[in-house]
Amino acid sequence: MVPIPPRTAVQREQFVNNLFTSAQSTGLHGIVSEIHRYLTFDVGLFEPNGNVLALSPERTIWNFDSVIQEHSNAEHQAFSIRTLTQDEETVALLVIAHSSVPEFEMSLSGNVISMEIARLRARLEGRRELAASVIDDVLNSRTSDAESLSRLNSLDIDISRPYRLLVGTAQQIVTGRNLIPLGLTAATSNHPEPFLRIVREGNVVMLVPEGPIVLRIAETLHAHLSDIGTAASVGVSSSFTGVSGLRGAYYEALTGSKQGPGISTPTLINLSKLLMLTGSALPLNEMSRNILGPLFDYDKQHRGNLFETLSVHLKHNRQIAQTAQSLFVHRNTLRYRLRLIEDLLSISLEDTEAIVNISLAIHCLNEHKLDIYDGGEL
Amino acid sequence: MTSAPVESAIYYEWLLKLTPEEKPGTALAKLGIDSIREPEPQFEQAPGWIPVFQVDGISQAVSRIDGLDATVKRLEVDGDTRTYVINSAGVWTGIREYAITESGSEIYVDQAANCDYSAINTNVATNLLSKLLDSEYVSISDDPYSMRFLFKEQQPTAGVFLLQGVEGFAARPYWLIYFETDDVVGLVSRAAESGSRILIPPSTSPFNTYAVLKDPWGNLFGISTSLSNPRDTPIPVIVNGEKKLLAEVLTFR
Repeated sequence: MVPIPPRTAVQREQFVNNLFTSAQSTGLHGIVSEIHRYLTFDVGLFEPNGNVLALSPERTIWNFDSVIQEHSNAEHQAFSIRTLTQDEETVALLVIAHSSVPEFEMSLSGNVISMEIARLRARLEGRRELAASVIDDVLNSRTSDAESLSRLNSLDIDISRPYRLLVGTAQQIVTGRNLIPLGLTAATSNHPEPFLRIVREGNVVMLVPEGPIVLRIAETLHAHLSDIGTAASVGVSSSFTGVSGLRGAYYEALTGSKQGPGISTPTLINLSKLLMLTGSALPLNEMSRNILGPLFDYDKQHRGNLFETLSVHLKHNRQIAQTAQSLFVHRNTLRYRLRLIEDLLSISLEDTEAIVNISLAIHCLNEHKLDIYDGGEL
Repeated sequence: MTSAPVESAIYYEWLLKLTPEEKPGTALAKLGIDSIREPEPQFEQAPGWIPVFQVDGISQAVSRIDGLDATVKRLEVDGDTRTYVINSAGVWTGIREYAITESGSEIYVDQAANCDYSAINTNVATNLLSKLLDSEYVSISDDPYSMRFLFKEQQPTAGVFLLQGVEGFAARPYWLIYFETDDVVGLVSRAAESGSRILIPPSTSPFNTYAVLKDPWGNLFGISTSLSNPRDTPIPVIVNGEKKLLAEVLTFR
């Protein structure tokens, strides 16, 4: 590869001036074009997910996967690559089709691009924060529906037509990556994002119009979350309209996202799971332990397994045969234990209200993975 | 041609904000999208969009390219005989005869999409296409992409560009079909959020604002807003060895 001829101080000074002028007048496109003009080699600016932000020459098709492969090699054979970060988040990759771009030019180019990206991000995140504030107020019922609607309309968010919410998250997120893809394409043209996206309580929340592509959008979100972390999950709500629908949609999608890795499409909402997710102000743990306390006492004193028996029995929809098989006990043994449970808890296992209560208590204890036998103290 | 024709049809209809009809693809058909289908063994080519151009006659078009480095395939598809020309790079181009009304007039299908071809050798590509389509062409002077416009009766038919791929990467010639929209940025953003990848972000040429993407199934497509008055831009061109301005040669609808 032909080495890049060294530039004079005057040339470099002119390059600096031209870069800043381009940044002010034509943004990322102008900056990248100026870098190309100065270095004469092809330049590409990419988002971490591979979407191109700017190119010079403009009609060049790059193979981003090959760029990433090259980037992972200790010695770059074809490109000079600079990862641009802001607040420890990777925001872009600057790639120049020459293996030995001088550090001065590479560093300066990266810095000017970073400044422009910061400006675009500020615009983007300002809108997202406003939207997040509105959504939070709606979910916490802090404002009237009319006021919420007005605020959403001012952000060009239309909820008068059917929509769905997506809630997604991931674990062990890689340093430098964000729950929400940057999505600067719209910002470069001062254009609103196509779908509302905010972060709330460690989850990304998206509002998408109802339509045939909702699942594909969920898949795209899931792919992003899988790229940045582990155990990515996305919950999809069913179709809702209006401000009040936001609450139902959010909790439906939220409980879906807690089903485990993958994409959860709308199913009958699990109210017990919902209660676990939203009842943080309630002493659910203590209440659950109180409800099931007699079983814990018995199990501790007699080295019994009544709690396990009850849990398994409910899991098998109170079917004697399946429960006995699962516990490896005789049916008569099971029946004896169930009578004992009923006596200890003063309930009937045929009583629907009692079953609901017990189920919620068990869910609570399982959700929080509490040590039931807490050193003898309950 | 795509590995997921139904999903692709639904996707493009949604992306282009078309009103879906009972069968996926029906709305696209109104744009002139002839079919969306899986590549069949008889096609033997990579998936992607294949432009289909109207010609005066199949036999006439084929005879015009006799001796050039291209093969002709006639395939039975859904009970129709369809004709394709495959160039030396393995890129397929479809041709069909002009539709004729009962009164004998030719029907011009109104295009809601335009297309251009990225070639390794623009001279070879232009020569083949101009003969196949019985079209003249203009060369844009001093253009970094060696751009040419094929045209017939002052109407542009297709563009030809010098292939721009970073050395060693993405260096295969291809047709690029552009779908017309009045909101390139918005549509590109929607596409990116729904699994497409942006390959060329919204950019401006003397003729349009355009972008190029790869759909969720890996097929290239373009989005374009044609400028209403590109003829007002003085673009020097060469036609038949003669220097002119583009506006003197072409009329953009």
